[in-house]
Amino acid sequence: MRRSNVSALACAAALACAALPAAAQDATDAAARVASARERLAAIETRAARVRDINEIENLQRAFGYYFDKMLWEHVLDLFSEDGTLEIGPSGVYVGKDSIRRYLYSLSDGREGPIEGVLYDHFQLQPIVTVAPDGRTAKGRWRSFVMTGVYGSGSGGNWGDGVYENEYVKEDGVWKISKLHWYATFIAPYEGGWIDADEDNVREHSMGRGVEPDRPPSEDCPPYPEVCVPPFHYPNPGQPQ
Amino acid sequence: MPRTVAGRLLAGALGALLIGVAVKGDAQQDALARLAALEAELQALERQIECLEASKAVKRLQRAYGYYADKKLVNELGALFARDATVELANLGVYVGRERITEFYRRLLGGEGLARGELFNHMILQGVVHVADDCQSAKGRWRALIQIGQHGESAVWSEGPYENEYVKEDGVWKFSKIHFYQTFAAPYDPGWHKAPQPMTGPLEDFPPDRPPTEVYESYPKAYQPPYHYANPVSGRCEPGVCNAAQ
Repeated sequence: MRRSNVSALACAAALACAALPAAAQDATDAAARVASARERLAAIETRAARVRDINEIENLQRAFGYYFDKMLWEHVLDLFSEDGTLEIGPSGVYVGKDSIRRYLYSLSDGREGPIEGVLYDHFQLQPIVTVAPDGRTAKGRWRSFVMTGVYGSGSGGNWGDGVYENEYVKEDGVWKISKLHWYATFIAPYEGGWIDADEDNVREHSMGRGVEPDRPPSEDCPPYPEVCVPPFHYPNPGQPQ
Repeated sequence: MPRTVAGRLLAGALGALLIGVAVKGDAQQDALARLAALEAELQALERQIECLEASKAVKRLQRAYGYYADKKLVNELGALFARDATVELANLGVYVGRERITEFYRRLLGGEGLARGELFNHMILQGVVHVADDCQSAKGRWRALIQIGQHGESAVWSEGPYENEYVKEDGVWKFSKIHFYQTFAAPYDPGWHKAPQPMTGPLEDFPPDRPPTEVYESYPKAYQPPYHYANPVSGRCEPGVCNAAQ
C-alpha cells in the first residue's frame, strides 16, 4: 500500500508537467488519494480513542482504590453510573447509588473519611481492560491486594487478595463504573497469614453490616481453600484475535 | 466538514489541486507536494499508534499470564508463548519451544488447575515495557509478588523481577522469552528476615534444554538482575547492571 502510494505520487508528479487533459486525470488521482488519506485519518482517530479510553478507565479504577482506602464514600459513589451495581465477595448485589451508599456507610458505622486506628488499604493492580469496538462500554479484570487493621485490637490485622471483573460505561464523555464485582481469593489474619484463611474471614470483610442487598450473590465462587476461577471476560490473548 | 486540523488541511490540499487544474502547473505542483507531505505524516502517525497499541497488548499478555498462573491454568499459559520461546524460572534452567514449555509448567505446577487447599497467587506488577522501533517486538521488566499456600500446612512468600521478551507472531503478541529471577522466598512465619529459602535446582525428571544462563543465589545473598534498558534519564548503562543494546 505504501509502495503503491509512492508510485502514484511519482506518476502524479510526472503528469503534472504534461498537458491539460493529463492534469485532469491527475486531479482525479489526487482526489482518490485525499479520500484514502481521510479514511486512514479516521482509523487513526478511532485507534487513538481506544488507547485513551483504556488510560481513562485505568485511572478511574485506581482512583476508586485511593478513595476506598480512605472511606471517602461520596467520592467512591461519584465514580458509579446511576444504575451501577456493587458486589463484594459474598455481599450480594447492591443496585444503584442509593443502595451502594447504604452498603458503603455500613462498613464504617455511618462515618465518612479516614478513621484513627483503622487501616483500610485496597491496592488496585494488574489491569486487563477491554473496550467495546463502539467505545461506549468496557470491561476490566483487576486484582485488589488488601491490608486492613484496627490498631490496638490485638487481632485486627488482615491480608487479602481477590480479583475484580468490572464493567464501565461512558456517559456524557466520562467513563464510570457500571458494575463492580470483587471475587475474594482470601482474607487472612496477619498472625499466621493465609495458612488458615477461610470463608469466615472473607464474610467478615465483605458483608454489609445491618443492610441487605437488592439481589443475592450473582454466583457461587468460594474463596481459598476452595477452588474457584472467576470467569475471564476476554479470550486467551495468545489466540488469534 | 472534517473535524480535525489534518482533515481540514487535506480538504485544502484537494481544493488547491482542483483550482490548479483549471489554472496551471505551479499551484498544482504545490498542492501535490502538500498532499504527499500529509501522507508521510499519516504514515508516521500510523506507526506511532501501532507502537502504542503494542505496548498495551504486551501489558495485557503479561498480566493475563499472572491470572492464569494464579489458578495453575497450564494450557492457557502454554498458549501465550511463541513457537520458539524460552522460559527460565529462578534456577530451573532454560526450556525451549512452546511444547516443552507447556510440559515444564505442567510438571512444575503439578498438573492442570489448582487443587482444593492450594493458593498460588502471582501478582504481576510494575511493568517497564519498551517496544522496538518497528513495533514488532518488545521487552519488559516486571515483578511478581507471590503467595503460595497449602491450607493448614504452609504459607510462603516469594518475590522477584522478570526480564521478558515479546514478539508479534502471525499478528498476535506472544512471549518469546520469560526469565524470572527470585529475589527471595520464605515462609510467612517467621518471614524472610529469619528463614529465607534457597532456590531449588532443575527438575530431575524433566531436565531443562539448557542450563541456567546466570548463576546466583537468592536472598540473603545479593544479586543484580540486569535491566534491559539504560537509565531513562542519563542513558547510563554499565556492564553487569544493564544489558541495553549500545
